[in-house]
Amino acid sequence: MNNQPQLPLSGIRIADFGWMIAGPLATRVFGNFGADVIRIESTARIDEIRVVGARPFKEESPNVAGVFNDINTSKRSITLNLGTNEGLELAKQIIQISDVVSNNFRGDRMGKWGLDYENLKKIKPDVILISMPTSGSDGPHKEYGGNGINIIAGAGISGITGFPERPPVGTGSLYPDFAGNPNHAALAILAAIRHRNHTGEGQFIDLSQTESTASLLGTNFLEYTANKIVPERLGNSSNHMSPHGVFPCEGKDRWIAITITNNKEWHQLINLMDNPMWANNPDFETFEGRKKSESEIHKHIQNWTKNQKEYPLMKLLQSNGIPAGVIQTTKDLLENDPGFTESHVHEFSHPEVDTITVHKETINISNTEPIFKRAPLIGEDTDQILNNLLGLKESDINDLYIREILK
Amino acid sequence: MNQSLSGIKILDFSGPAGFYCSKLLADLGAEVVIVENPSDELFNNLGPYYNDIKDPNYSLYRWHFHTNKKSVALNISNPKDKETLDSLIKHADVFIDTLTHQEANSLDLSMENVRALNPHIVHTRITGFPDNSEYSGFKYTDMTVLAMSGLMSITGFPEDPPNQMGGEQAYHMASLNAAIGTMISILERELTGTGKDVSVSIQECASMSTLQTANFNYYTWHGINRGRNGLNHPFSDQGPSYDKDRNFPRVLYESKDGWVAHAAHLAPPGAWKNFVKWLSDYDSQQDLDDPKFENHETRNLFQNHINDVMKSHCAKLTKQEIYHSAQKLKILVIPINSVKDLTEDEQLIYRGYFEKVFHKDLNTEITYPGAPYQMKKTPWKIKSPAPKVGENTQQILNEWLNQ
Repeated sequence: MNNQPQLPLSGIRIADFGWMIAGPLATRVFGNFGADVIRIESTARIDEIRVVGARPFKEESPNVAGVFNDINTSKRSITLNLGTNEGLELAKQIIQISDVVSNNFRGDRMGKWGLDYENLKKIKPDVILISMPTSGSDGPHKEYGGNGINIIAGAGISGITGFPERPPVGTGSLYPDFAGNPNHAALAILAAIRHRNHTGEGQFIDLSQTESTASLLGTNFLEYTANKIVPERLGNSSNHMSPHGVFPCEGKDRWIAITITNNKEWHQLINLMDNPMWANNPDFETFEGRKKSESEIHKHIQNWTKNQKEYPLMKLLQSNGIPAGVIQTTKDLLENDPGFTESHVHEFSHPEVDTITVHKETINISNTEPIFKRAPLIGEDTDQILNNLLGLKESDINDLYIREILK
Repeated sequence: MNQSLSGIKILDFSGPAGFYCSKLLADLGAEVVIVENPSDELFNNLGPYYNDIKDPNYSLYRWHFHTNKKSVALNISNPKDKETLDSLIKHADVFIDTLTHQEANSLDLSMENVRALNPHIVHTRITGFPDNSEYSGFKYTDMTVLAMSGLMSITGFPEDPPNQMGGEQAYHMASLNAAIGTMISILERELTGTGKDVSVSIQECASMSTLQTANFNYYTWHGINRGRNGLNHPFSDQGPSYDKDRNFPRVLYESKDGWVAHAAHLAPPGAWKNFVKWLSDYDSQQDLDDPKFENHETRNLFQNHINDVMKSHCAKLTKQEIYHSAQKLKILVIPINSVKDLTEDEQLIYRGYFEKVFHKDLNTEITYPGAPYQMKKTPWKIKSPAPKVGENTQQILNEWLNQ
């Protein structure tokens, strides 16, 4: 077919109704590893992520937003007016030749189009449908909504983030949109594909974004249910490591994270600090003992770090076997961390702006080069999809344009 | 086949960064065997513990992350145990580890070594940093890589030190990506017979979470290096000028009994009117029912005022009152829930999110967090609690190796 070697997900097709972040990010990995991911979208109701956030200029082009371009790599885009029967019919024809249908609408948007699981099965009996509403597809609060800004609160992670003596921390990242939701969704789709490959049976995957984010609470959940302790904000401390904190370094807003996982590391640390008198305390020979005096120990470490430069200090600590990391900013990632930049940062050239900088695929697979193609302009592949995939003639496609079926 | 990963044999040699990866696969039905070294120091210090019983078998860390897994105790510095590990690798479909390449070389478990033992295996490795990074040999914990990923620099209050996120999120992000890579390779192997090496770095996986609020292009296009925003909206006052019209600069508000988070979304028609109706229902609206506020630009001029009205409104009500009354009007407010709040949440209870797991030795049922996704034909489930250390050594040597 072409000289691209077969990729692991070649032959899989996803009809992707995802919008904003969690939905499209779930299918990004599929496109990168060879699946044909078709964004079914519309210029009549533009996916908002195409026009918000980082943009090169104020003019509202739907093609240049930084976030949109980062989460839609290696996909195709078709614009269909799903408010018309013909537009909807074309969407169904795409679904008929797809393995997976994905969406992250709130409420019953798919059902209103007649694209709920029961109806999809009639079009494509072994279809895999994933929906990912905030609160799930059933239950008394199924209509309740949210987004990455506050699902993190509802799911319990905000309640354990921040310093105990300070107010809670509003997320600096719209965390659920990037972690639990798209990744759990991608994994569930892959698992469903395996089941289908073995049995011929498709299924409906109902992902509640609240549940999928709550699943990232780690041990905090059992602390309450098994030990009856309601976990509070833990600041930068840990349940099994001490000292464990973030300390100031020389310069404005420069910080280093230092964590001690065992006694050997503790001794290395106090050696580096010239074995001060205060550290000569038998209680500090255990995690429990250090934890009891953690705030005092942290003050001493802070006095030691505050006049040092962050990167040389990190390297000094690491060369003495102590886990430490600089609190890097975006600028640091792009300018001070060549290993990260080389491995993970990519610049796309783009028809409307010089370059767009994005995150590369996070997953490396041996002997496998991800496709990693620029995200599609809105409707960029409409003609090609209708022609090559659905077999429509150019004249018919033109007619559909004239009648505003393809907007 | 009643679970989606039935029939897959996974040997898991990972540390905490990979525990969630193999949990994900085990809870979908794969047979996951963890290899544990009882003399390892970290292994004996994974608190918190059930009722403070400082025994690895009562580590809540173990309970949570090792559901559905089996345990084989091996100390591979002992040559006989290393030989057993090698034999298990030969019989596994998937091998997962979290070794740095340096550590792997010293243990004869480099990518090449493992592949030589089992040419068809899917071998998944989670590292702290990318292979080419000068930091690839660094020791790490969840927080030190979270720091290096960029996420901590935007989490917290500008006047405080940066914050980690609760619940070891860097490990979760890496584990999720590793599980996805593993599944992609399992699918490929089942089609072609070829197993591959899969690797992810925690730093890269965690950096994905900065993708929106600290998007690379803010810096490359506008020179903006985002910082921490405290109670405020991540897009308030740090973005380029076109990003400043938010109406609501803040996200978090204090209620009578805790905090709530408001994801203001005023684009849909009628959204502002709904908001004013919500306030009016509690006589909190002050002058916001003045028609002049129906204009988006006017509201931008009065951001602080709107914020003050919202503040005093929320202060009058409980989290639950705010949650339900707002959501009924399509206003996206959600409380900051504690774990206790979650266990009492009607919606989660209705959907059966919580799993009761019977612990035989304690003769008691303990509630666990449930499925991250409801797969309707191949359900996620907890069939067994975490094994005791080495509980399945004999069984697995017998079943896998005929010993």
